[in-house]
Amino acid sequence: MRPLGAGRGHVAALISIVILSAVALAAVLAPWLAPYPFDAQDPGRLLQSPDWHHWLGTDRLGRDLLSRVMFGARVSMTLGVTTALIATALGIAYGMASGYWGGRADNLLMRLLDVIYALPDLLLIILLTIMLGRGLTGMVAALSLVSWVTVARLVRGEVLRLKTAEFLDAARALGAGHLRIVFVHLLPLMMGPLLVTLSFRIPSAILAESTLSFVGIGLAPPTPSWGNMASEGWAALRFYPHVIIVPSVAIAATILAFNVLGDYLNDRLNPRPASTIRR
Amino acid sequence: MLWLVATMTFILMHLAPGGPFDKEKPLPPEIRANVEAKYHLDEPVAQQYARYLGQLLRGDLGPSFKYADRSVGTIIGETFPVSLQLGGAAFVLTLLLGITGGVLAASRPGAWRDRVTLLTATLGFSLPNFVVGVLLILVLAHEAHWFPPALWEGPRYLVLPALTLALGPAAYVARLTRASLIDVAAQEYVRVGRAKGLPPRVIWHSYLLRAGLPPVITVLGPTLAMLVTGSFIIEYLFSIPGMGRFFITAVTNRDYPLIMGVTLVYAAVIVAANLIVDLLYGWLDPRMRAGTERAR
Repeated sequence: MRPLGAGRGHVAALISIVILSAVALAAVLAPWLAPYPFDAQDPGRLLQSPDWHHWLGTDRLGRDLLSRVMFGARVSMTLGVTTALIATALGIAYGMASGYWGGRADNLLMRLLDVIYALPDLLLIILLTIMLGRGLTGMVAALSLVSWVTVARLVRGEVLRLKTAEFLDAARALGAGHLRIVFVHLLPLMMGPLLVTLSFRIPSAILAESTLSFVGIGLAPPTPSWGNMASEGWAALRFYPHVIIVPSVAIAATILAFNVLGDYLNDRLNPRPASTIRR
Repeated sequence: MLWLVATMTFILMHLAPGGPFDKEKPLPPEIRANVEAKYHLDEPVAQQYARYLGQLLRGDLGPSFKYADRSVGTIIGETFPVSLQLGGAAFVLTLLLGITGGVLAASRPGAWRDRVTLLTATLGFSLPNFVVGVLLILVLAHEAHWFPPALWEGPRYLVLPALTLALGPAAYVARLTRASLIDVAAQEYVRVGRAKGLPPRVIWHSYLLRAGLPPVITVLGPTLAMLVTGSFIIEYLFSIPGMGRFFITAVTNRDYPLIMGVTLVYAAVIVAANLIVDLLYGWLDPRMRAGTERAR
């Protein structure tokens, strides 16, 4: 039980924050910081290795990879954060309803969750994108519709744990309504675990999108997502590996940073032992 | 459960915009009508649904829209064994790597091997399948020439894809094994065992592993789900003629019967796996046999 371990956690978390800040900065400032527009083609310099003109090289159409990675950050971060927020909101609503009402309704709502939970995420996301389309909106919708399930389970568990607490009886005795109890008395107590799931939802959305885009059924091509870039690089793997390495590093670093940060928050904020959150 | 999945995919597929025959060059209306009649696409949705369920009960998954000469059943029959081999190999690797890693890490919490395992596990969990796969192909196939980079022509072709597929789930299993063993190690009765001087071997075998490993079994369900989703990407990456790759192609082609058929097979596999896990867990952990408490 030396504090040394905690110190190491700090360092890793700090590095993650630095990486994520850099990615976020690149995402927000891409139109101003990027040396070229993401779709500008330079026919004289196709598949160039990194040099002074193109710091990270160019792809098959002569587009600057550094610029594309920055615009890709914009797409991935927007998608990840939006999905995580929507999923958390949906999950809170569903979990609260289920846990707070309890009884039959709870039973029914949970059976429904079990079905969704048992199926592989990616399978459901693929089926949903067939229906919702492959634009950014369709993608976010499909991802949110799948990833709220984890949040709902978590929230329901927390509600059941807190439901019989005396302070709730006190609040009721003082005349607090259902909504007041849910929002003022229950929700603030779950902030820790919720923040942890939120930080795990973002990378899992980014991961799912890039994976789908990589095999060609994710975001439709003109969008410069990291997965699309990797997909294009895949064709040139043998002789021009930099085209796939650049987006892969971006994806890996971002997801890793989010997960390390999530683990750190989990250790700090989650009252129960590690490994309870996440699937 | 399977009926629910069948209904769900049926509804999703019918809500999807665009039909399977929109893609290629536009067909003259009379031919189009003929094609639609052949696949019963001209009937009302309810009738199609009833027909589909009826066929399912007889084990018929219907015709493929894209591969006119083959039925969905034939395609799955050809590709499923391939996926099963890949998945089976990856599953064994997952357990081997995951449990070994977890036990190694938990044997001395905080020591370097714990740190290394945890770091590897975090990496394994975070890196997307395709990034790991690309890395392995570049290093072990293109540079070192140890293994072939793609295709499916013998056991040597199995190594890289199975390893790539197993890494993520193995990381997950390792983390859980470690957490479970450390939980058990903190129990009073283990301390009593140590205090009365039992040799570490006995402590490990009779106490820690006996009590710490059964909970790991409960994650085999999610692990299997990870393997299934992983197989789409791995089979695409390594050009393996398995079910996952056909699924991806079917999605691109909007070949609805094939999509639904494959989804159903996956769902069936997972339902069966969860059932086995529940039974196995009850058998391994006597405390579970008495209660009606579900394993998860």
